Amino acid sequence: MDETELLWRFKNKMPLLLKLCGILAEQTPRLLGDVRRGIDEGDGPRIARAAHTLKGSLSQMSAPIAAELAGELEQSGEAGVFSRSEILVNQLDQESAEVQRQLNELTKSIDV
Amino acid sequence: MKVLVAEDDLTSSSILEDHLRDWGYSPIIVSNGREALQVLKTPSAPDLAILDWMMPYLSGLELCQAVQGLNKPIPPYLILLSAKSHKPEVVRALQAGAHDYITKPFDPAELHARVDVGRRIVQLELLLGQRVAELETVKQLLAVHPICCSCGKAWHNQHDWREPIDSGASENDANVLHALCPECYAKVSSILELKSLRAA
Repeated sequence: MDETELLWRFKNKMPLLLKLCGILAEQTPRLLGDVRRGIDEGDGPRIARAAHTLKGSLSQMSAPIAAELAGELEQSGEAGVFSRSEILVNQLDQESAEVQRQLNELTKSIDV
Repeated sequence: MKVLVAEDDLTSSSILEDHLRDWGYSPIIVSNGREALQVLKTPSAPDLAILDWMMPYLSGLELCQAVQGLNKPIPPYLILLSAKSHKPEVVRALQAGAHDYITKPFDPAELHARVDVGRRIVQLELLLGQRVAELETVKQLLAVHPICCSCGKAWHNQHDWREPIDSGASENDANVLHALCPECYAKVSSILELKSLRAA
C-alpha cells in the first residue's frame, strides 16, 4: 500500500478514511467469497463482477498491487479462463489482508 | 446544484459523496443503472451525473444511451467514471453520449475541476434556453399588427402609424392587436380629463 499517496488523497479527510477502512474490512471477505464461489461454479461473470468491485475499492485505497491482482481476476472472469484464478484469488486474499493490516496500523495513529 | 452519483462500489460512492458535499453540491446516490435512469427521468432530475461504467442492471454506457433517448430539452451533463483507461473505451463512452470521462482511482482535484466544467456548461445551456424563449416572445411580438381602434391606422414596420392600406395588416388578420395610436390616445385622454373635471 502506498501510504504517502493515501494520506495525500485523504488530506483533511480522516473521518472519511476511517469510514472507508470499515467498508473495506466488511466487503473484502464477502467479495473474495464471491470470487471463490464463481471459480467453483465456473461462473465467469460472477468472478468479473466481484473482482471489478475489489479492483475499484483497492485502487481508491492506494493499494496498486492488490488492485492489479483483482484486475487480472476480472479479466480471467470476463474471458472465462479459470486456470490461474485459484492462484490469483489466494494472492489477492493475502495482499488485501496485508493492506487491511497496514490500514489498521495507520488509522490507529490518526488523530481525527 | 444536485449531482446524481450512480456507483455500486460503496468505497467510491462514499468518496464521491463526501467530496461533492465539500464542493457545495447536493449528491444523490444510487447503486445501479436502473435506479439512476429512474432519477434522470423525473422532472426535477439533476442536471449533472457521475456514472460508473460497470453497474448492475444497466451499465454506465447503456445509461448514457438511454438518457439520449429521453430527448430532454436540456440533457444532463454526464461524466463516466471507470477503471477502464484504454483509448478505445474512452472513445466508446464519448460516442455513447458521455460528456466527459475520468478513470479510477480519480484525483479529487481533477474531478472537482471536471465537475465544475460540467456545472458551467449546464448553466450556459440553461441561460441559452432562457434567451431562446425570450427571442421567441420577441418574434411573436414582432408578428403582431397593432391597429388603432379609433382612426383605423396601423403600426407600420415597427416604425410609424399609417393608413391601413399601407400597413399590410387588416381587421381579419389573426395577429391584429386593437390599440390606440398616439394621436387618438391624446384625444381620448383630453376627453376623459374634461369629463372628470366636469364631474368634479
